[in-house]
Amino acid sequence: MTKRRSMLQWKGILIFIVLIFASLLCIEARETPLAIEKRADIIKINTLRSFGDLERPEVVFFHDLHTENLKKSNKDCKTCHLNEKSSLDRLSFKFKRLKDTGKKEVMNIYHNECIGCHKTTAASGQKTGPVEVCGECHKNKNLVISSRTPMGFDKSLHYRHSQAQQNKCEQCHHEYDQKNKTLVYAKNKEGSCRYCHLQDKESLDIQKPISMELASHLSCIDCHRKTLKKKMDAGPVSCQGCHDLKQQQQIVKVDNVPRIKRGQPDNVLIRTGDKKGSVIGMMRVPFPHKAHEKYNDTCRVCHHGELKSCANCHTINGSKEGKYVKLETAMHQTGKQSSCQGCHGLKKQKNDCAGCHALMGKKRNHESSDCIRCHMVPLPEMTGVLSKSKEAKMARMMPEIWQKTFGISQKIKVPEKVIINNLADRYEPVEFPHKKIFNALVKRVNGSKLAQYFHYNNNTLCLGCHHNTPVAGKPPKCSSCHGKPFDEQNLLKPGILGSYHRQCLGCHQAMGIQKPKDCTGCHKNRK
Amino acid sequence: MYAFITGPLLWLAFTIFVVGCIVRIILYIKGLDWQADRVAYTAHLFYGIKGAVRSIVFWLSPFGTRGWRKNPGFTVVFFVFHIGLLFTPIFLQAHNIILKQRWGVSLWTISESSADVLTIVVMIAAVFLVLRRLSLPEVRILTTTYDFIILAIAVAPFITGFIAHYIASDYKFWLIIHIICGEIMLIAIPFTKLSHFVLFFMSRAQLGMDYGIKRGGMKGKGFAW
Repeated sequence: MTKRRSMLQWKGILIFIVLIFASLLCIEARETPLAIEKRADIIKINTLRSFGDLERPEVVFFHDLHTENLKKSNKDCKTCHLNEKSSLDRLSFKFKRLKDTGKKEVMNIYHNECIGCHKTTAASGQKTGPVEVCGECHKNKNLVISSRTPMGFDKSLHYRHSQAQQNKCEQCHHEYDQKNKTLVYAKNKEGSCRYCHLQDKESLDIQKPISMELASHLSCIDCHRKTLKKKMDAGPVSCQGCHDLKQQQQIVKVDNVPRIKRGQPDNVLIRTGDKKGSVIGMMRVPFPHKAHEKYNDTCRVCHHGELKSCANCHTINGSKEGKYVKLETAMHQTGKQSSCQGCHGLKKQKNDCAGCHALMGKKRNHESSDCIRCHMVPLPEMTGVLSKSKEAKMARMMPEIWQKTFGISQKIKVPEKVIINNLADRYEPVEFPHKKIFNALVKRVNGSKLAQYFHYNNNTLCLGCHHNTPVAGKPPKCSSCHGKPFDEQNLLKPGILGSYHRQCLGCHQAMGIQKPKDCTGCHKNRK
Repeated sequence: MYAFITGPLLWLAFTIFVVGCIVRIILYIKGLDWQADRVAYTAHLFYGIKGAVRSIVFWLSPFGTRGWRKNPGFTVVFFVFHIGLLFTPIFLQAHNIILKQRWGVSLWTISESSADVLTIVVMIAAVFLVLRRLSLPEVRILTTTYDFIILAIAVAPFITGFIAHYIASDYKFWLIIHIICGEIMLIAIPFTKLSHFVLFFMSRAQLGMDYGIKRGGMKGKGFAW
């Protein structure tokens, strides 16, 4: 009897334990609301990855949160960062160490130093980070995501820095002297930092230049920090100062930045041959270098590898230096900002242009008439100049030649209004404001030098709507191609109803025009 | 909450565990009676200790005894279970880092992945031990719900620790459950069958002494029967 009772008791306890576990699992399974925070100062501490796979999740560290709190207790960067050399007042990028000597050592540094500081801060009654619970730093799920915006050194920022440094380029620009193993300044060989300091993360190969990330943080922050110490104005030393979008937008922009002088030409003839002697039978392309400097924020938009002529690496047949991208591809590659046609193509995606160009598709224009806009046939006054290969003279003549192609007259006869009455049985006929639309497009073309140059013919603009039509003369009516029902033999050619709606609404959508809001915006109700 | 369960409660748990184990050892030794057991423990202490050590060593070696060799499957599960149960918490990196932070000392540690393997193995072995108790008639007859509860107490820190590390959306909650389960296990050791943590050594020593002195251990050594 006693045994049976004790059995019952134990079963009761077992059921109780099972119930507790079941309810715990229910609590676990409940959905927790996700409140995701965005920060620009996230550093993922995963240094141990260089010693093999991580055993715990990487630690998401908020750098600015720490610097702000240290500031409050009158502490500075040196609380966490050591001097690279005792003789040099430049701080190492690493936390509390100069080198990653070993897995255990690095791990101990983080554990001892982070936890140690958190403990002391907690002891002084201040709010602080985790001290013991592993998963509070090594989180499996993070509800914080990075809003870090990449930082770049545009012309304005370059100008402000060169002014502040009194045009002493050597303050930042350098080359590595292999022989003496030191950094030296090479005049007229300055270029973007990124030419040598690549995006790769820090490699163990000491022969390689340090990564762009490391180089910029070491040099920029170091200089800013030292300048601030002298109680002078300086750039940001916090993560957000450079990498937060809002703070980036607050960086002062100089409107008319004087030209950076690096021995570059005003105008050049882009070669259609390479230094190896290969030539393709295309006319050379006159290129207004000076004008393009204004259109772009940095030199590296086009000169992505070094500040030399494109054909230096991109040869006719491709070379190792040019990663086997041929000269032709380098100039015509779509979607790439560093290629001529690519960059021009990207400009066509802007609202002002996309109305017509988005509907034209992404295919490259192979019309020979388009090629010669760049691969110009020399004008009569230039012949002879070319044959004498006096390129400099020709380049000097270019501005006048181009002047002739700009400022085209769009004074062609276009009807004021066009009545479209295909849906007259349901709505009032549509009064299509043909002239108004044409003028709106003319205005947009005249607002862009690039557009002016390529919409050279009086009728080019008409092609936006009147596609597959000869450029000259009065275009045929839309209904002459687009039938009432669509052509089942040619499914790519919509019927008249589809073609109007695709063309009108497609253009409005691409240009970001909110109107019409509904059918009656165009089709008035019948009276 | 965390401060309490890893502070006063942890100390209490450890004290109960250590003192309780010592008391169990003392009570076991006190309970021995050379006349009732018919073993001359003190008279032939050297042979007794030799026999005790021999017995413990053989029972601690996998397949070291006839009992182990007779049930190879069970032996494997049993050893894997006990090795995991002891090694994982003691040599876990996370536990040792806390130890280092608190007292400045730490033991040799195993990698996180080996700890994961051991944890999973302990959980699987526990399932086999349950199945064994349910399926084999000779063990089933001895089994009550109490045995399953004891098993659950032993495995609970592993399950909760694993959940906290890999699955939990509320890490701290599961961590606290994990610590409480660990403390329950420590406290349960002196009071339940889990006391075999120390009593295994005592009973093996007793039997070992019995064999070392009387049952053949002193054969030909002038032992007076």
